[in-house]
Amino acid sequence: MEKIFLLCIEDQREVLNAVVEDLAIFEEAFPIEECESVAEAITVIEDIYDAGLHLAVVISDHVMPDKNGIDFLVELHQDERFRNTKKLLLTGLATHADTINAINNAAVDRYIAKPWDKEKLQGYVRKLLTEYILESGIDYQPYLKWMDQETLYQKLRKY
Amino acid sequence: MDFKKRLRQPSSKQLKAAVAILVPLFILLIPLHWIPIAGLTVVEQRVIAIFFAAALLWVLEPIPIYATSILVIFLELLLISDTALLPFREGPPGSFGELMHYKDIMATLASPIILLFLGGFFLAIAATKYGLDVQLAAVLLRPFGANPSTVMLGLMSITALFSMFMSNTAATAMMLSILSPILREVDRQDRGRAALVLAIPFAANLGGLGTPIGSPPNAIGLNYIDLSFGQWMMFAVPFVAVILLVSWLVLRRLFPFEMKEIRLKVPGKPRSNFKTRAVYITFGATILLWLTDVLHGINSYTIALVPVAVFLVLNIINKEDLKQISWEVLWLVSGGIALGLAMERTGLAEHLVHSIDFSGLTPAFMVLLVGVVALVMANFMSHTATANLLLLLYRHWAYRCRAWLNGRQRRHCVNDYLCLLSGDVAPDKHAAECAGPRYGRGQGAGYDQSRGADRGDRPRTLLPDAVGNESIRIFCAYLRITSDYWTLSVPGAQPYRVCETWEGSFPKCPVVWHNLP
Repeated sequence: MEKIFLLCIEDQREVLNAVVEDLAIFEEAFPIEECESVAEAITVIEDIYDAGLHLAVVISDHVMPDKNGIDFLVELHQDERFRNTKKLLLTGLATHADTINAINNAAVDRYIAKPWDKEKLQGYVRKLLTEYILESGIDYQPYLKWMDQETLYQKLRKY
Repeated sequence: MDFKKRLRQPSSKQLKAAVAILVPLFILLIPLHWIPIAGLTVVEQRVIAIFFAAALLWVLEPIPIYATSILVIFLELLLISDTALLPFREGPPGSFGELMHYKDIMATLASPIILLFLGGFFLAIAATKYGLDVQLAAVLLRPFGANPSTVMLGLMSITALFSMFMSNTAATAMMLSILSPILREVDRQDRGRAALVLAIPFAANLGGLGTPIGSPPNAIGLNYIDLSFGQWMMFAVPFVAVILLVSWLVLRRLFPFEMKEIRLKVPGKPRSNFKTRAVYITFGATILLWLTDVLHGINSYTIALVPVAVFLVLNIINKEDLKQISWEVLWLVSGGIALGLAMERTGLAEHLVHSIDFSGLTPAFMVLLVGVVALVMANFMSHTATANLLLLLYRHWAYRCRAWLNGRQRRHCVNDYLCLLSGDVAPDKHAAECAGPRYGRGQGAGYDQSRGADRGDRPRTLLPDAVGNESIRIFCAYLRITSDYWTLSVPGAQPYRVCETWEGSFPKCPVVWHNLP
């Protein structure tokens, strides 16, 4: 099995814990990295890249003290090394302009408003993981338990 | 930070890789006379080492199976070709053996069988791109009504039909995407759910038998047995139909339906633009040409280029679509062909045959034994790799057995049966006499070209026996294929794994996995 990571960025520790707890169902196959700031996240993704591992989904808050989440996601989007990495914005405080920026310049794959619905978050992460695995050409068979059926069938239908 | 710690988890891959490197290396380095095969040459010893490397890598899978195939070709070029490393080109006179021509090894990457598969891929890619698969499924499902049991039969026949031309996994995924919206509405306690879900990978795997391009193990079989597309379908399709019916009965019995009716909703309207029609027509024409090669004389391999040419000319398949071609399947098969070619050309095959005494084994026992071995192996490893390895060994075994029968002056038809078992090798005259009209055509790939030449000299027909020969040949082909392909209705294969996403939704599933044939 390849090492495929999920990354959560959230400046409030208790909120971060809540997100990670909701994603615990994936933990067995997809280790979750917890970051409290964008700066920390950048070192982690560099580590992941250096070690030749996969970064499947980044779940980011928007309003954070050092650098805001959307700016980070814009940079990530422009970074060729992470072109298959999926981006999920999880925020309650994005303005209209922020949202437009997130869609146009960061090409975020999903947007969830806080407070979030646990099932919905899990469903989205499941879909994004499935897309990441199939688009990156990773052998999907060990991960079937965590994959989204519909997405899987659609992608596998193509030869 | 625990991130670094996570990276250092030990892996069993390294151990497996070590075994797969050390064993062949040992075989390569030991003195020639340690290997108990009479008349062995240095080049043949290297082929044995490559064979062991391939076998271990395919069985243990420390690297992807297609990587092993490419490695086989690469090692053959480095060790036993006339462009090998300089120190490998010479050896003790007398026992060195003959090097292969490098072009012959490289040619396995574009052998006729590979092109046949390429044609199949083009058909499947075009059909998926223009939504033909789903539309056709909708049309074909209509007559099966709403009775769950009949609908299941419909689903199975259509899945089987599609998987004759698509990969088994793609056919499974396509049909499950049609089925899954309905299954969500079915009561979770209804055991019929399991039947409906399982029916699809069952049918997909069975359908894969139906045509030479249905699934990759068929390509390996085709390398050893000289059959045209139509001849293959003539025995395989009835076989698929019977087993399909049996599976349907078994599933119905094991998982009786409680639901009264089931309504499939198939998405999408049929499109009727120029390109869609062109895909339909080309698809139909290609199959028709494949089935009528007796009338027009073009062999299956050339016909496979019809969809390739037409779809590219009409821009139905563009350069982005070309990237979807499953190169790994093509190269996996090439490696198998290259290994067979090396064993044949270097003379290892013949030496193997003469050094082992098979005289106590009857053909029927052999078929049974190989069937069981294939069944067991394919449970744990790739079907294509299983076919690759078993047919390499089986072929020589069968070949020896035929020689034994020759010695006893058995009837020609029995002999012919063994030609088929061994896959039409037969450099000896006796087999050629009984080989009948088909062998005159010389469509086979991967054989020695020089043998292709003397095919023309063989008697073209044995008229009085022709009819009997033909029926016996078909029957024997049946036996042979069934023995190798019993493996196909076994869990562990990819299409079943795709179904495992259902595991969460119906708990009985893991039990099903281990209790069904």
